[in-house]
Amino acid sequence: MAIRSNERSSIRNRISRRLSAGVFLILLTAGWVLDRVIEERLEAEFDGQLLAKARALATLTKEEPGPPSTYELDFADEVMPEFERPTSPDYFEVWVERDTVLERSRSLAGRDLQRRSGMPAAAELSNVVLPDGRPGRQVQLGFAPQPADDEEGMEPDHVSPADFTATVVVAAGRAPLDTSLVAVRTAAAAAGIGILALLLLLGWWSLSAGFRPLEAIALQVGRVEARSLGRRIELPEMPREIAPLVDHLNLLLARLEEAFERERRLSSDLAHELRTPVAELRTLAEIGAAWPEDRQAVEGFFTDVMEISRSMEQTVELLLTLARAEAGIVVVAAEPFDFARRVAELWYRLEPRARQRGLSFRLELPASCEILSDPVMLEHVVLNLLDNAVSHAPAGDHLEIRLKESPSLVVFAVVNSAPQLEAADLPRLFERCWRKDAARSGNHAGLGLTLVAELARMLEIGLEADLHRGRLSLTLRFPRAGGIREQPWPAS
Amino acid sequence: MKLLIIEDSERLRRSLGQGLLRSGHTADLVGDGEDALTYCRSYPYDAIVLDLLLPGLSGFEVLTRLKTEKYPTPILILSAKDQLADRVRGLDSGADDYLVKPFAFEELLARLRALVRRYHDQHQTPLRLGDLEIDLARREVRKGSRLLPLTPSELALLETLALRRGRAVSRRLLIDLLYESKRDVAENSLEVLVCGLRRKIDPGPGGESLIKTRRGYGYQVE
Repeated sequence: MAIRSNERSSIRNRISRRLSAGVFLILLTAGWVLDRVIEERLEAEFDGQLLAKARALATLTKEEPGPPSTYELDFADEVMPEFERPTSPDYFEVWVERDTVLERSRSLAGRDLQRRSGMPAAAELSNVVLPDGRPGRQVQLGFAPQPADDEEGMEPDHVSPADFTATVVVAAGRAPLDTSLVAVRTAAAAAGIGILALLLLLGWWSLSAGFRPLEAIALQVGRVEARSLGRRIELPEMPREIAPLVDHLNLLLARLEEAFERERRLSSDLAHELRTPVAELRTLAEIGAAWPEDRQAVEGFFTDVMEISRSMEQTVELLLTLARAEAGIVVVAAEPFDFARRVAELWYRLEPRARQRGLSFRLELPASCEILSDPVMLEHVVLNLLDNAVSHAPAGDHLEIRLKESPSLVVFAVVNSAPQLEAADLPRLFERCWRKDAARSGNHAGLGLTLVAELARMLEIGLEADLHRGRLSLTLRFPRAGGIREQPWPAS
Repeated sequence: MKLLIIEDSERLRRSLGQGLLRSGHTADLVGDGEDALTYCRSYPYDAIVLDLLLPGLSGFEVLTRLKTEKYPTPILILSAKDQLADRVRGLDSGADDYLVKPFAFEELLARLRALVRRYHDQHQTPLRLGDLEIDLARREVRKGSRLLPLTPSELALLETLALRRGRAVSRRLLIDLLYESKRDVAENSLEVLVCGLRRKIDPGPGGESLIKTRRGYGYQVE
């Protein structure tokens, strides 16, 4: 099944989105602050120039004292041509004796500039609409005209505002200021967009570089198949953050490989378990059909067919039980029952076969042993343990079957000789179809102990295999009424 | 054909032996790897049928040991292992053929006949010997259009000699190839058999016998 992935859940997109939003906000704030500062600086500079002109006009305004005072503005067009320009000129107007217009720039052409009443102590700056309709800025400055004979003249600032009798207003178009502001803002915006784009590109590139090992892993994982589970994921440079992921993937692969190997072995073993009897049946049938006149041989074949079908039945039954147990279809149904009696009954079934094989035995059972477990499943476990001992013990061997109990614990053990077994074989003992000599010994599939292990797991019974001086003991150990679940076992 | 059946299922061994005997062949039956090696080293066979899962020595081990000894007899693996890897491994280990269980007895016989033909470098089938036509598959011998009434032993003798045509076959080898190993064979039974066969296939008094006697050694056909 392909995993559904959408663009929204892409890590790269998510990081890119957050990064660009963050960077955009930062740039926006920085741009706004920068804009305020630059606008203020530019305006201050513009205003400075206006003020300088106003001050110059104030200085040029002279008073001839003596009643009545006369005033004179020694204005020279060539020094300040901006007041004479035919297009977008600047304006000024000077009042003396508070309200008498002494002089106005030619650009005013007899019109008046707006003037606020009063004599403010400091220069007053404001945005205005110029007489020709352009937006502009003006400065209004109150001052005390200097006496005409005072060559050097005192700075108007040094005169107290109370002595101010004259006013000068200078106004100029804002256009140069606004042009500069627009230019600065455009440049700032362009730089901002550029930085944003660069950062995004950088982010994308870094993320791509960061994700490259992940893509390499995906590619390698994609190449893993059932046949190539021996492969491991390897990166030329393992980033520290990804190393645990790769480690776990490799461990998973190792487990998978082992499981596949087990399944492969199993299918080959099962093939043997099932094909051999089928081959036997087929050959018997073919030869019997080819030479039916040999009655004695054909009658012998029927006995063989009977034996073969019985052993196949056993194999199939075991396989089915195993499959059901592994699929979790079998439900554990615990109830109290006498385990000692059940063991005795089961042994009674197997005893004739044990005698037939010349086996001696010792049965050690308490008078009764009440436990809480699933009687049917536990019966399978015990029957297979006993059957294993009876089938695989060397002829003439001595079997020990022991059931011991303490107030809390029940221990059941079956002991028989296993001269061919080595300690290293014990872990494989419960694998399906495993058998020491890799060939059938008797008409018995090597499934019994696997079933025992599977059922013991479901019943939460401890199962141990021990080898001591060539004697194999298989031991069940469980609490007298312990931990039985009454739900279906989850499939493993 | 004299065959060695190495098979660990006793029932299969038994029924195979019976089938082969009924088909006019001789077979020795063994159930484990060690015995198999002993038999291979002691008696001559036309072909060997080898199971892979054997107690004691596995089929692969038997195969490898025989091939290290440059054992020439063709070997057919008869196994329940049907995986590609097993089949390739079997053939690469020196087996001449591989048949997966369950199998048809007819097919096993046909494959064995093919192996034996190749082994003896006799690519003609049916085999022609003078005016005789020997159909080994149908177990029939014709002289012209006439079917000769040969007993299974006579047919086996003719087959054994015909497969080795042009070479003298010692009496010892003939006895080994015609009878189950470890069976007591009467001193003159081979002569009686040859005599009976000659009477049935030879042109009649005065004509030269197809089966030539090599004095003090054995017999030969051309």
